[in-house]
Amino acid sequence: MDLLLIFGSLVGLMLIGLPITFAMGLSALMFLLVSGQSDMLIMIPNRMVLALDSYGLMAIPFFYLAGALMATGGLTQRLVNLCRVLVGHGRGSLSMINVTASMVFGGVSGSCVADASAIGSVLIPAMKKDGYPAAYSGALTGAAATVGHIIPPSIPMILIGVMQELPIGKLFLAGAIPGLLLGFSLMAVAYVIAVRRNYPKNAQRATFAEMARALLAGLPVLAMPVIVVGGIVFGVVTITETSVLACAYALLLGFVYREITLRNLWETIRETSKGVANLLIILASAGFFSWVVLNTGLGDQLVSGILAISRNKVAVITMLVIFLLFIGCLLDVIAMIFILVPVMFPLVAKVGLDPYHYSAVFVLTLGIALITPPVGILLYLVAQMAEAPLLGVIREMLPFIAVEIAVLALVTYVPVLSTWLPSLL
Amino acid sequence: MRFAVSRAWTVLDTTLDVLTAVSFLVMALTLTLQIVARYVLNWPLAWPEEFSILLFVWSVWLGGAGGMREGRQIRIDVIDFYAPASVRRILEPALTILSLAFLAVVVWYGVKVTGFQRTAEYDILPVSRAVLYAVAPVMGSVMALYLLRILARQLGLVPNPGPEQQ
Repeated sequence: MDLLLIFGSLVGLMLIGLPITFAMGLSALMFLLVSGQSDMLIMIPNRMVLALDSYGLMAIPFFYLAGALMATGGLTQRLVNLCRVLVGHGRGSLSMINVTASMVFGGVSGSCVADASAIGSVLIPAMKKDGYPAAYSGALTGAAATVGHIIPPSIPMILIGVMQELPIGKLFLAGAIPGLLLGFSLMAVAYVIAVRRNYPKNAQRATFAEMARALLAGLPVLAMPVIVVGGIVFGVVTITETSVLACAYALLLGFVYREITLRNLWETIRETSKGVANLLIILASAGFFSWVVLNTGLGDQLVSGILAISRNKVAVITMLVIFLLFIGCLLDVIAMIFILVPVMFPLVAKVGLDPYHYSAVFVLTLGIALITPPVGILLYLVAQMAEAPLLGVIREMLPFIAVEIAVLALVTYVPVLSTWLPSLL
Repeated sequence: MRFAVSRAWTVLDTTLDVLTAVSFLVMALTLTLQIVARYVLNWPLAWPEEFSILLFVWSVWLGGAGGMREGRQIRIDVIDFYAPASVRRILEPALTILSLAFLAVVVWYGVKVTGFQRTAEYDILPVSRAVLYAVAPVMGSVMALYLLRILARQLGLVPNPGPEQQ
């Protein structure tokens, strides 16, 4: 009954359009009032402040800024040019370029929204110009951007690491193989669609001189994921320091390429700081919400409820994935992490599931949540960027959602895909 | 009078935007200094971590207030597509009032928590932890102020400006 009250009111308030920050705060507040725990109300500002009082969380705005500086500094354009030279000669070549660029860009920004905005701003107009339907261009960009969620550095993995006190380097490695698998699977589907629909083919392969030019311009950009992932995985610098180094490197390249000026740098910082704060403010009330769930025994109720159904590892992870896929259609990703991680990870530990395996499964599911209606934030973003009707984008998204679910099933039932790399560290 | 009020809003809007960006920038510079001091000069500094986290918390609340002003808070907007205009006309101010009620609780208890933390000190920084906790009542009040302006517009008490003037 208590669970129904708090989660029911949360979903209800969100569905009637209350901003997620307030929906989480109010549902937890109402629960405290109804259950006669009004003396706990003082914990609202307390938890809302403490939820953000974390060194690890500071990495998030700087990975976003690194992504924004890549776009401002012309790095995204050089990355796309490099991908064009490398994979841009087959049928549906722009689709391949889109996914490849997203995989590399995701290796820097760690955010799929930044990924979709940066890659989409360059490639959606190019795809439309080449005759790809607007809805398909948007759908592919959105699906490809979800790779950025799991390929290191992954912002959800940072949040899981901070909340569960797990080494972030190992978490990043847990997502590496599933991320690559997802990227290549999306490419395969995009290729099949391109062949079936006879999408344009760039008949001419790049000449050696063109390749050399693109490589020369693009190699410094490719060094970014290496710096970012290498720095964290090998423990040279902390995650937050890495994010700042990624910004510094993007800034340096932007100045070298003479694309960043003081004016557009200030504008980038202004826009990024506002955008990221608007996203992270959800963490404040999510901190209060998850505190209520954990400290009032609600989390235990949920765990015992699931364990009463089964204690079998495979059955539990299957139930969790189905639940995540369902709830992912209703909740925002950041909200999902803050609400569900503290509840689900104790359950995962109780049935003996590997935390790195479960983290990879969890983050993959979050990626799917980003492209499924009605909440999928990427859906709206790419539909807007492609100037395509939302329903059309959803229709074109279906094969990509299917392949994402197939990869999710593979990662769920073949744990070695996500546990092998972390075990090497 | 109307001109003075409009000017006060402009000053608040600009201050908020500049403070958000500046705190973000100072945070980046502080962390860069920490990296250079530790890895290049081999002279680790203790204060940048506490200082940058303090700035981070403030910058998130500052930017959160900015997002509220522009109506950019993250929300599920299915209702915008499916509910008739008459329902939305009632629902929108109702949701703003609900948000204001939550902020009132945040501000009320935020003042109390800040008071409790007056004597608690940071480990390194020579300031009270109340500076950190004050973000809830201070920025909660600014958010409430913006929501009141939005509510006045939703109820038709003040004219609704174009999107570029919001």
